[in-house]
Amino acid sequence: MPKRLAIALCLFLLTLLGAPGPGLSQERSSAISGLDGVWNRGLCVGPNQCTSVGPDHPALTARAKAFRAAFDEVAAPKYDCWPTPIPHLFTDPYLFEIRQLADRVILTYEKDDVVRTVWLEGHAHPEPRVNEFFTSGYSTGRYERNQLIVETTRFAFDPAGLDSDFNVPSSTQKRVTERYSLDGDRLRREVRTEDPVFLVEPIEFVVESERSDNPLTLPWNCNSEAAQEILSVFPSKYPEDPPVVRER
Amino acid sequence: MKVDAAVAAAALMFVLTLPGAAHHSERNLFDETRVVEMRGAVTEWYFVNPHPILRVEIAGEEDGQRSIWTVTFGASGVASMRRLGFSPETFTPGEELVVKGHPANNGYAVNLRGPGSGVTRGDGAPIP
Repeated sequence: MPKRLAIALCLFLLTLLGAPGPGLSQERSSAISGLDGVWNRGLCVGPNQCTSVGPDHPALTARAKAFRAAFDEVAAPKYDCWPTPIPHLFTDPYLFEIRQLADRVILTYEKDDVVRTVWLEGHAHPEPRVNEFFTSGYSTGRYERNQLIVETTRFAFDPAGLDSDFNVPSSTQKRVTERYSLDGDRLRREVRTEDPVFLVEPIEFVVESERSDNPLTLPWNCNSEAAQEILSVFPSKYPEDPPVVRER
Repeated sequence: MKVDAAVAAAALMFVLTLPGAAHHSERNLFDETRVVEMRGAVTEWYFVNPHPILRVEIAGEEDGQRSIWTVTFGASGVASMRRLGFSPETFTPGEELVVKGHPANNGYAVNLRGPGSGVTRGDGAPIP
């Protein structure tokens, strides 16, 4: 091969490798500077209590309260290492990381090995089919006025999807909207949760996080035996039923 | 505190005073109006997620019968406990511990959370 042809071929290949496209890690031009990195858990700010949706929360529908009242703790999927639902995960006391890429934002949580992909406008990823639902939903995002806005739908039904401590359910109609912005050195997240099946009105809260100097501790590697340990002190709601023996 | 030997394994919760929600709703599980103190020897220590587990052999004060109690750490997982100084080597089988906490309403368990609760070495040294 002539030397000049070889050089030209090399330059062509280098150009291809450097071109932006789906899956490559170039930062998007509209990405928010300073948003990338590891952040501490979100702490509530503002008037709304955000850490729990208890059984008496005024936004719950009657069917949400009835579902919760009938639900037995032993049936909760968290005892099989089911991940903490969105948005409850946002206030759990663990770190998370934001990475803004050309066509997506990757949100990696220390808790439960949750990794969310937020597909940005113009992405090439296929939309979910009508029968596809996901534990942490399907997320799309866009940038508006120095905010990253994430819309998540297509959640699988979760018996504890609105609050995994109190077993408040969420339906396949749950929609979570997150608005990420920076307030000085702090990350601000405005979160709005809608669910026409289990909420009479949206639940909104704001959490702020400080940047962490620590890396994420990964993997989480949930241990099912440890997850089930606390069940030994829960009284059964249905003692007439045979005891539940879980596979591990 | 009397320990019923018929209870082969009960859960002893001690939840660190970290801010935030626990993995479970602990309401109605523990009597937060009372604090009990127990002394026992470590049998097992698993530094795992979602909640590390400590097993301690406790002797009943009245009948002296021994039973194995399971100690878990409530809301805290490995990452948050590491940041507090815990590790897989924090507890050694055979060493004596003193735990103080709220007794469970169902079964022989204790929740170590809030003022007056905690865990120390047998000689009173703090942990970690």
